[in-house]
Amino acid sequence: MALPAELLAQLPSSVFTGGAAFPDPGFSAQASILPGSAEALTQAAAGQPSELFGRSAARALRLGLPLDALLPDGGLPSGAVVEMSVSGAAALGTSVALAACRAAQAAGADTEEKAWCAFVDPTGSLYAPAAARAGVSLERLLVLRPSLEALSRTALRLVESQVFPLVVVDLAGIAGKLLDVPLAGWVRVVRRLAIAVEHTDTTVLLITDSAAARPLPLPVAQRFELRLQGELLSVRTTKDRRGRVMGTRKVRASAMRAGSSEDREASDGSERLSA
Amino acid sequence: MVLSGSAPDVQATPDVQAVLPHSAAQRKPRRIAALVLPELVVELAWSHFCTDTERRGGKLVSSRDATQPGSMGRLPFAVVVLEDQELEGEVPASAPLSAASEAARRFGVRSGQSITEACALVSNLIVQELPQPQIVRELQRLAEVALGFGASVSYEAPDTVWVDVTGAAHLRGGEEQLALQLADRVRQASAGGGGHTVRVVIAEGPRIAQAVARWGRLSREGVLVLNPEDTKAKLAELPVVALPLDQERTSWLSRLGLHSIGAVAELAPSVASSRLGEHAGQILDLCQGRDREPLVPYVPPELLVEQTSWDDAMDGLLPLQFVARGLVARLSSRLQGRGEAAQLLELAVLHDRSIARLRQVDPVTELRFELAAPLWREAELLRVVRSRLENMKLVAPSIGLVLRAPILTRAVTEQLDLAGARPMGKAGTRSVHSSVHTQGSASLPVLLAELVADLGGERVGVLELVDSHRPEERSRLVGVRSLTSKRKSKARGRRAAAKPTPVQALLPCGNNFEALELPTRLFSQPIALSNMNAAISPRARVSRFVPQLPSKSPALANVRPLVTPADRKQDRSLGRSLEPGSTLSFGRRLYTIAQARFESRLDGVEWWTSHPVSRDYWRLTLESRSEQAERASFDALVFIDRLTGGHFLQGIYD
Repeated sequence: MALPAELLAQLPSSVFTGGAAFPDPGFSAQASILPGSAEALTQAAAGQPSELFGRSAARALRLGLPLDALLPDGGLPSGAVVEMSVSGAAALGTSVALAACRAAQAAGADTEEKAWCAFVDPTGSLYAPAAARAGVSLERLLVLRPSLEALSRTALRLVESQVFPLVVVDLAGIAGKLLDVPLAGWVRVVRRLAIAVEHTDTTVLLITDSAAARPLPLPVAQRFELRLQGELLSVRTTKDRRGRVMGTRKVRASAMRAGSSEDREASDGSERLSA
Repeated sequence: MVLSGSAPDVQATPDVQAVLPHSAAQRKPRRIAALVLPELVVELAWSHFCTDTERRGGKLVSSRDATQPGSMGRLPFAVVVLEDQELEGEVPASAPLSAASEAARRFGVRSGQSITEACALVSNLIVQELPQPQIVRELQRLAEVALGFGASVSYEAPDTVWVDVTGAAHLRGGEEQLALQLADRVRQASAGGGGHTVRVVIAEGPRIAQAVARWGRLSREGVLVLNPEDTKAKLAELPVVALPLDQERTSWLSRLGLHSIGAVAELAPSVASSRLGEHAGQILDLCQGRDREPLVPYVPPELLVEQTSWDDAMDGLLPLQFVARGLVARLSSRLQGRGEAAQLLELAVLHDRSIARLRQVDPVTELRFELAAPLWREAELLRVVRSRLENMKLVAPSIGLVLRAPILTRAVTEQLDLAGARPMGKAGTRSVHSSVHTQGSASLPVLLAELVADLGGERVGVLELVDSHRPEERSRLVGVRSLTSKRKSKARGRRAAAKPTPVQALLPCGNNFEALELPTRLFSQPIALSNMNAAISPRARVSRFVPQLPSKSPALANVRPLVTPADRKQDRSLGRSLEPGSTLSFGRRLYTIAQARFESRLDGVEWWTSHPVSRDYWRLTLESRSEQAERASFDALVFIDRLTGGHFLQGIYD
C-alpha cells in the first residue's frame, strides 16, 4: 500500500535505495538519485537521461519542459500508456500534451518529413494558434473529434495502426465542456492499448480527470497528477513502471504554458528548471 | 543526310534503321492471348445456386457429396441460359440445356438435350437458370481484369476474352510468364470465389488462339505459347468443329470424311470456297495458319459499378458484410486491371420496399466514403467499407447492394524505398522513432479513409490557421487532403499574417499583440456565463478599465475614443461583476474569481454585417474546490459583449 505524500517526504533518502523486496537485476546500490533531486536536475540539464534506481531511462519522450526532471524516466516512456490526471478542470494538461506532440514530431526530423501525431479531442476545443505557437506542426497533427461512444474504438484504431509515435486521448474535457467518460469501461481498452504499443516506440497519453470515479485504477505504465495552484504547478507521480509512488514536486506554471516565452526558449534547446 | 520516308530506297545503317518507319518485313507480328473459360456458364450458375440456397438457410451439400463446402463435387448440375431475363422461373421442361457439369456429363447429359431428357438420365439433376446478360457482364468484368496485361481487350460470349499483348510480353518476363500470370489473375477474379477454369493461348490471331485454347492440347498449367512457325501444324491437329462454321457445314465436312482442320487445308481452294459459305476466304486462311481478323477493342465503362441483389430480404449486418466483401473484391480487380484507383466510393443498401414503407424510412441507404488518398487494393478498400458497415444500423431488411466508384484517378504505385528501411538504432534515439513510423505512415491514407468512414469527414482532419478578427474563427478543422493541395498558398498567407503591421502591433489598450498568451482551448460557440452576484446589464459599458489610446501614434490619429466620459459614469455594475470574489457558474460547476485582468478589445469588427462584434476580453483566474477541499485554479478567457452586455466564456488557458 502506498504511503501518503507527506510521509514520503519525511523519510530519509536511504529508504528509497535498495529496491525493497524485488531487487532489480540492473539495480546498483551506488545509484541513489531521487527524482527531483539535485542530481536528477543536473543530469536533465546536461541532456542526459536520469539514472533512477540504478537503471538508465533511455526510452523516453523528452518534453523539453521542467516536467521532464520530475518524471521517473526523464520524460514520457515509450512503448507505454501514460495517464496524466488533472485536478480542477484545467491544470496545464493541454500544454503538456502539445509539448509532447512537438517533441514527438521533432523526433522524426531525421527523415524528410516530420512524424505524425494524433490528438483525440472530443470537445473540439483545441485551438490552432496556440498549438502553432507551442511549436507543433499543424500539418502533422491529426485531430479527431469522435463522439463519446466512438472514443474507445477510435483510440484503439489509432494506436493499433502503429503510424503515430504519440497518441493523445482526452478523456477529461475542459472546464465548460467536461466529458462524462466512464473510466470503468476503459480498463479493458487501456489493456488493449498497452498490448498494442508493447515493443514499439509509441506513447499513448491519456488525459483524465482526477475527480472522475474509477472503481479500478487504469492499468497504465505510469500515472502522474497535475494540480495548478496560482503560479505553481504541483506534479506527483502516483505510479511508475515498478508501481512506486513519488512525492509532490512543484514547478513554475509559467515555464510550462504552451507558447510562453520560457517554453519557447526551452523548446529551442535550453532548459529552465525549477529549484 | 536526307532521310527518305520509304525504307527500301535508303541504305540504312543500324542507327538510321532506328529512325526510319518500319517496313512490312520489319513490323512485329501480332500476339493475341485468348482466355477461354470452358466452364464459365456452369460456374456462374453454380455460384448463383449456392448463394440462393445459403440465403434461404438451406444446407447445400452433405460432407459425402462434396470435397469442399459449396463445390459441385459429385452433384449433377445443368444450366439453361435464358436470352430474356423475364422468362426466369417460367422455363418449360422442353427447354434445351446450355451446359452441364462434369458429373452430369458422366451420366450422359449433354448440352442441347431438353430438361426432360436430361432428368430421365439423372434423377437428381439440378437445373439452374442463368440470364444471358449475366454471362456478358462477367466476360466484360474479366476483360477489365485482363486489361492490365495488354493494350486492348475484347470478348465474345459465351467463353472467350482476348488480350492484345503485342510488345508487352517483356514486361512480364516473357510470353509464357505472361500467360501464367494472366491465367492466375483471372482465376482469382472469379465472381463466386471458387475460381474459374481458364485456358490461355498466345498466338498470331484471335481466332487461331481461340481455336487452340478450346480444342488444343495445352500444358499442365493450362497455357500454351504458339510460335508463328508452329501455327499451321498445331491447327492441323484440331477437329473441324474448331472452325467458325455452323453446325450444318460441320456435319457436311464430317460426312465427307474431313475430321480435322489439316484435312480441310489440303482441299483445293476452288473446291472448298463454294461450300464454306460467305466467310470461306477467312476460313481457308485460318486453315493455312493466317488470321487477319481485327480485334475490336472493348471500352470499359467510365463509371465502375458492382451490384448484386437477392430475393429474400436479409436482416443483420454479417451477411451484408459478406456480400460487400465480394463486391469490393470484384471492384478491386477491375481497378487493378485498368490501372486506376478510386477517390470516392458510394455504397447503396437497398431495403425491402414494403417494410421500408411500413417503417417510414428511405428504401435506399447511401453511404459515402471519401478517401484521403486513392486506393485500389482489395484489403484497403475492404477496411474502409467495413469500418462503416460494422457500426451501421439497418433500418429495414436488405435486398441488394450497389457499390460505385464515381471518381477515378490513375493508380500510382510507389517503388520500394530501401533507404527508408533502416536497421533499429539504440533505444530512445531518433532513428528508432523515424524508421518504425516511416514504414507505418505508408498506411496513413488507409487509416484516414477508415476514420473518415467511421466518424465522418467533419470530425477528422488537421487544424488550420485562419485570418480572422474573431478568435473562434481563427482555427478550423480541415480534411488532410484539402490542406495538402492548398499548402503553398496557405503557407504564404500565414507568413504574411505572422508579421504584424504597425497598426496591429499595438492594441488600443497598449498591449503588445505578440506578447499576449493564447488559450490552448477555445470554444467555437462561446459559453454564456451566469454570474451569481450581479445581474447582467443589457446596455452596459465598461467603465473602470477603459484603456487609454496612445496619443502620438499616427496610425491611430483618426480613431476616436470608444467610450466618452459621459459613458464612464453610467452603469458600473458590469465592471463589478468581474471583480475578485465573484462566483461564476458554467458547466454545472461553480468557480470563484481570484483575479481579473483586462486582456484586449475587439471593436467594430465586421460592422457591415448584421452581427458585428464588439467585445472586451478579460483573463480571469478561477478557483474551484474539490470534494477533498483542495484548491485548484486555472485561467480562463472571458469576454463581455459590449452590444448586449452578456458574459461569455471563450477559452481556457490549459
